[in-house]
Amino acid sequence: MKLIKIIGILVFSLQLSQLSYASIIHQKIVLNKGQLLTVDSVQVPYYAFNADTVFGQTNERLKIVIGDSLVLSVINHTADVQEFVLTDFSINRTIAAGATEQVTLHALKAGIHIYSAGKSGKQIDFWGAAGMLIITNQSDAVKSTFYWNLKDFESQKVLQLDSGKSVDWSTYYPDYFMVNGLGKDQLVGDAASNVKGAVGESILIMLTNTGNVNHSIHFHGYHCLAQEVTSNRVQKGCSKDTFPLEAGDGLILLLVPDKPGFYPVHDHNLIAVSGGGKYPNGIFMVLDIK
Amino acid sequence: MKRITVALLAVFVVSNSYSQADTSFNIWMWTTGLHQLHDGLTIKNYGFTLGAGRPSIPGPTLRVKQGQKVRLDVRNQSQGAPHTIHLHGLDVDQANDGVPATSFVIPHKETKQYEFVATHAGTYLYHCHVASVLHVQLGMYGSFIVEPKDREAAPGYFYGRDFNLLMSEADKSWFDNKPKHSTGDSVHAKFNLPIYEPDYFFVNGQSQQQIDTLMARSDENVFIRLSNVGYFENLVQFPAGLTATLITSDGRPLPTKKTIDSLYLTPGERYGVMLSPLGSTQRSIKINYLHMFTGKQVHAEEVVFGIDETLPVEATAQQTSIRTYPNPVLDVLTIENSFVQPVEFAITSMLGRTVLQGSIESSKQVIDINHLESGTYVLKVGTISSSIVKK
Repeated sequence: MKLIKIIGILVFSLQLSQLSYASIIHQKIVLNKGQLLTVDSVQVPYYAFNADTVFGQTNERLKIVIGDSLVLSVINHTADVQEFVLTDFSINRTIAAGATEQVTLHALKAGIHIYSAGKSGKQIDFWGAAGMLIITNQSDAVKSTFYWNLKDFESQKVLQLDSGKSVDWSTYYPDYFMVNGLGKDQLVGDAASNVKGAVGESILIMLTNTGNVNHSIHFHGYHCLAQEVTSNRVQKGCSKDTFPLEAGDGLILLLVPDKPGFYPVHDHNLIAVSGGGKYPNGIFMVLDIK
Repeated sequence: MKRITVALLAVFVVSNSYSQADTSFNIWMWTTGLHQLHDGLTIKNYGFTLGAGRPSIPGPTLRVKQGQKVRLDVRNQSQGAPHTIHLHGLDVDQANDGVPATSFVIPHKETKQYEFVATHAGTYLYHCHVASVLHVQLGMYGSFIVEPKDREAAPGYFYGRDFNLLMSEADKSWFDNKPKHSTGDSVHAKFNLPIYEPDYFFVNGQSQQQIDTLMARSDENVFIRLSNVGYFENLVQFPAGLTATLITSDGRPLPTKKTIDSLYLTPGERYGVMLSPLGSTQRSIKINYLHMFTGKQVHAEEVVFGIDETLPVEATAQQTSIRTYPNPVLDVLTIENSFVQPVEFAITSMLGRTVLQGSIESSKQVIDINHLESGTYVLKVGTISSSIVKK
């Protein structure tokens, strides 16, 4: 009986400790239209959610901890009516051109989710406007964390869409594959995507696939633990070196390196390591472990 | 003097660590393959062989025991192109990782070594990592299997026989009209990539009527090792009426063992599936090949099981390993092996001339090679090759 009481107090204390960190987070994201600069210096029309009205080709990352409430202002800075969709939280709002919508969500459990502009279904995602919403527990919030938001597009189809033409998706063959809106050479030195850490350190890697094709991300040197999964393909708690990501999937991976060195991580659909028809220009990152 | 002593000690440690490998493979890399397709056509492939030979697709399946220290003696015989071996999933250190920018390449007519310990039982891959998209497509890949102790694929899951199914594809136009980079360009050069629309779909390099029937007893658990080294996705469908349990992936047990009727594999993934005893009904596994970009099913192949009750109980699908020592050797070479029956051996020079051959009758056999000239030789025992150095 005494033991049950002690356990009860411990559980209550743990809940209290989580809540004691809980706060209301106010954040703003702006849907912009601009020109994406590809790895081979081609410009294509593109959408992205940014911190302000200046277009950037990397979508903002929303990161909160369990217990937080996120009050998110979404501003449509494009000339058209758009939508804001966060499927995992049953949020789907229509936003007039120039208007702002406010959404509120409560972070109840750890996980990774995708938000996007979904007005035209697949087409607006295809143009880039999709990012990650990350919910972690308090202890994970202080770990070294890196972000890989995977995307793909076929430049000819982007141009067709931009000129108001319809697109035949059955012939989709992307020619650009990106991480955080960047191809391989653009990723060199990118602090968000290139993992730096030390032997024995707990490193978190956040992955989403906001593109239209499936990916297969292979780690050299290490296996990673799938700590949180938004996926039908990957078991939570499994240890793998190659992770499938269907379009719309998300993973939080825990990497604890057991040896130092430089190791690549890349798509093992090796076609997706290309960009602009050249290899290697696509999904290719580096782990730098001291 | 102190520096010299340290240097000598270092040389001794390195050479001693090579000689202490539990198992080794003598791998040659080529660009002169001729792979036979099911329709009678051939493609000029790149690839691997054990010792001298003509490479086919895939490279030889390499099997070792869990915990063994492994050495690959790799010779590039490729008419110019540099190559490497990436040990996919084996979590080797940077020096042995096979990535040109961070490890080493093996130039034409050179031999270099990869060393590692096979710590986790499971199914892995090996492939060239120079211009990977090209060299892998052209055939430079194979399976690397780390066998578990006592045929226990995951805790509590024992098998009588295991089969390895390695899926891939071939776009014949890539073989007929190889993109530039095929003959020794800089390993870091960028090159144009043709559209990939494969017209051949492989299981262990075979398709349609070429595909081997998997022979098993009717009363044994069968462990299926599945790997995808192509650029399409696979949807594997298991036979109705059997219990298929997904137990491992990428060389690790899965936390939840699930009964499944089908399974997706994206490129580079591996899975282990335990099948309940086959019984006497004719059964087969269907493998669908899905386009990575459209999701469309482009092709399907079928792998058929055959029943043979005369097969020995709990036989492995392939033979295991050999250990040779000392290496380098002066006069007497000891060969430890796990072959259950007498097996032929041959020692050949690097020019391919057989200098000694015979039969190995016991698990530990001593061979006198005192009469051989100093140099490097290839020892072949059964299907396994290893290199030895005669002092």
